[in-house]
Amino acid sequence: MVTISGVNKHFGELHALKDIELSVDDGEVVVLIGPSGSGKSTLCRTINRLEIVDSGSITVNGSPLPAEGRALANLRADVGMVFQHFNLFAHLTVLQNITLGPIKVRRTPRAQANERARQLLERVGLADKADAYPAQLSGGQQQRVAIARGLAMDPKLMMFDEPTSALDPEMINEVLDVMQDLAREGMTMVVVTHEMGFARRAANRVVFMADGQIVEIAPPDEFFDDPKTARAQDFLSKVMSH
Amino acid sequence: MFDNFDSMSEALLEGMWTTVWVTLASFVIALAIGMVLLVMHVSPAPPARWAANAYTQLFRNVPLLAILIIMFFGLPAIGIRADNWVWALVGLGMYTGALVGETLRSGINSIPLGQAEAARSLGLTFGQSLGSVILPQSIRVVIPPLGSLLIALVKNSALVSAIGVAELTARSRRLIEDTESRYDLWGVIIGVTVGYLLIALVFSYLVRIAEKRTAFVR
Repeated sequence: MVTISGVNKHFGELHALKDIELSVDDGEVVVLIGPSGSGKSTLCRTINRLEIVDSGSITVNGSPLPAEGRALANLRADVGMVFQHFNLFAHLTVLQNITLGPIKVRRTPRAQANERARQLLERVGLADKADAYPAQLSGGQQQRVAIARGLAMDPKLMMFDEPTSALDPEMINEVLDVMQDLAREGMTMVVVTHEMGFARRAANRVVFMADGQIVEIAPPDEFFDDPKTARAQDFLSKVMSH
Repeated sequence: MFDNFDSMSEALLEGMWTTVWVTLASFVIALAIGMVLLVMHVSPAPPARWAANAYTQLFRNVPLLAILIIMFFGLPAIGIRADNWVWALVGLGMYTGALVGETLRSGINSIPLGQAEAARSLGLTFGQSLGSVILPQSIRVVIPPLGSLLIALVKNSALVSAIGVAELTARSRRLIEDTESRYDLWGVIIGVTVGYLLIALVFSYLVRIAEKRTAFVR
């Protein structure tokens, strides 16, 4: 589904991504973990070209990422993106948020888009919020709407960039539950997160990053029970100490 | 005291009417210019950005009265002729257009980047995300400052009396200087003041309505 090869990215002096090699198979759930500033969000954002890489290649579904324009828009339509800060469209209702993409990009008739949006809202447990505005929802509710908005495009791949990092603790699980259901149904997913429990339960592979590099890639049980690198051991000892 | 009240109030009302249409017409011109400047400001082509910037610096840093006088006396001297009221609308419109352009630009800049990222991530093109996500949200932000520009324009329109357009200020001046008819000085002064207040307050009220109609829950 996604092949990333020899990717480098700089932010000024900072070498944010160093020679990244990673592929994601169809139906696979890949979870990126690592300390803040390790480049995992940046890597996630390069896949739909929200960040432009300095060198290396990224292919999605067999074709290389196009430059800015219609072809890139088409590719992005197939790649769902869920952000840390939800980024729901503030001037639109929940239903309009979900139907904007299908109506504008897929040319789905409005009635059909509305029906599908209501099904998705049902699925994320927010059937009664269709006419609410984002500002009237809690963070957890907003993030579930954002997931429904992504799913409404029938994406081939869903990306989650720290989807629970801006949430109050009691709202984290409602979002993780939806994500876990998706994973179980076979959605291809790239997830950047600090939720180690989710990584262990839902991931096919865990990718551990530090200082812009991929340090270790392993199945979750192997990674959490028996990390091979000192960097990963150190990280896990810090996040798992409580 | 008010023997010639009728002819005085008639003159002032005509002046008010001229002030209103000069203001509205030049505001429409200003909005159009501002929109073009906005597109040039966000354009990927550097020359378009330079040109927009040069225009803005020129028209907002030269006094409006100077702009009007240059147009009224300077342009006919090089063969470009038009009626007084045309120069009034063009001068007011071009001057205010520079300010409108800056206001629209700050409106777009006030929308968080995440809104555009979310729109682009759904597969919306640059134009679609501008039209469906960014502009609708910035309109709400720019209506109050655009309203202030409109009110300022009501008052700035008094300057076109200098190039012979008979708006409210020009009319009142003629009344005061008309020593033959001996209009009551304080009657004229109060009439002019109330006239401008009335126009400005009605416009403020309309702006408030526009503000309410574009509001959404935040």
